[in-house]
Amino acid sequence: MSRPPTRQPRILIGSAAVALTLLMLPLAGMLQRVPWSTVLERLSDPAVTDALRVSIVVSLWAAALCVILGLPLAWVMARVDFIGKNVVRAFVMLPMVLPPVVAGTALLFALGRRGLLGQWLDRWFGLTLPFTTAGAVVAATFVALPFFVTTVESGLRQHGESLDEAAAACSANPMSTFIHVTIPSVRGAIGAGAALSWARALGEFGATVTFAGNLGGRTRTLPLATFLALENDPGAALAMSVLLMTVSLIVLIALRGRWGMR
Amino acid sequence: MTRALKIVLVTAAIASGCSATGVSSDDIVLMAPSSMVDVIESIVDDQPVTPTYAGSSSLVAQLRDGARADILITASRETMQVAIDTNSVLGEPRLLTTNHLVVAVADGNPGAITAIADLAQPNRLVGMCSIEVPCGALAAEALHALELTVSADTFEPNVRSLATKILLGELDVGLIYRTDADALGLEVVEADGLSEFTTEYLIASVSGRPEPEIEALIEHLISSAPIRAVLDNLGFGPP
Repeated sequence: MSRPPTRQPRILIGSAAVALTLLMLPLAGMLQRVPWSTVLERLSDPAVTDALRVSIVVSLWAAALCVILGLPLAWVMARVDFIGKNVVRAFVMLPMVLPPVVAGTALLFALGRRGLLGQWLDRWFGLTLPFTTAGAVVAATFVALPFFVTTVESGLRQHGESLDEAAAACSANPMSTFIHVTIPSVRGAIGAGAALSWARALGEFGATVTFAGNLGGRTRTLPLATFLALENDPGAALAMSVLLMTVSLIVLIALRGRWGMR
Repeated sequence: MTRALKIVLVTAAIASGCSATGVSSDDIVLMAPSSMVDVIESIVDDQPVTPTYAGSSSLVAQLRDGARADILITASRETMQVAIDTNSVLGEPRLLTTNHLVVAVADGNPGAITAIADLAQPNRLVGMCSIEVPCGALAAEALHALELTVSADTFEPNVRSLATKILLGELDVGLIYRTDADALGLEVVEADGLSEFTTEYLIASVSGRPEPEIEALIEHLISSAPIRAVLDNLGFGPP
């Protein structure tokens, strides 16, 4: 029998087990209620496949936008020092802690037809985001972006500036350094951030229903369909929940804890 | 904008399914549909009541899944029947009040809606309640009876979230209850034949322990003159 190198306080292990139970018990409770024999049949229902299609489109667009918009922001947060950085960081993290329904309402006030910016989009371009698939993408991007930015920022911090400095010393131009040196040095973190923001976008509910509404084939994502099915068809809701949970778990296991400190 | 803000907060509370703060264990937990928010809020100061609001079918689903509550109010007979079928209800539900549908339009009527038939016009931003909740089921029934085919832009999970989107001007028009239109001060377009489509609000005891004070509160809600006056004021119909 091998002994651990240091003695581990048993009370900590016991407490950890309690925490893990709290996290896993709801899943166990759900799994034992799933009508397994009809899961595939329920998931092939046109209403479900429609919602799945909308979910895939919306979450992939949101993840792509997170990468495009999040990469420069993560770089600024990791490499540039400026006054009020802590405040900016708080704004970056805000969507993670804000109730998504509040996020959706705020998006309406900002980008709705009568919103701060939305009224001009409507007037100048005839563009209204609420109740469109694009609106659902905006809502999902808003809540998923912090996951990408924090993951890549922490990746950039770990890799430090030495490579960038070396490239700069070889008089590479700064943009070229960013593209050919900085990005490749954190491609693992970029991949992890993209996957994580995609998983968050896939599970998005509150901001989507508040900002983009609920219309089959356009804005009704899998979480919205699940919520509505809970009211009159719990079996279908459970089948969809299993699908969402399985996909999310696969993503998280594939990341092997890349997110955050490593 | 403070009014809009208040509505948003109430809506947020509804959407996130949380009840009011300050829950005391002695309080009677009253589940009410989101269209009853203003009625219930008018009695919470005098009664030991903790209200919880959601769409009627959400409330019934919560009960089915073991939520603790003492009194259930539903915005339709059908949703109360579901509660009865899942053995959530004790005794016979009683009729509390009625409500009917109206055509509510955004401020300034941007969709130029003058009759219910305009809902079927193209290029209007039209909202409905989701078919799973009573206001959506009633709207579908009304549109069917009036032989109108409406392609809505959104099916909202409850009547308040629909009403709020009309208030914010994000939707041109929607079919909501008269009481919600009144509560938010929404402009209403006269619509022939729509007022026939009423829904009945039923109230029943759902606690595992029948207590006199619960029966007394139900009786109070049904027959007290001040509550009747509040209901009238808010646009609810006679029982």
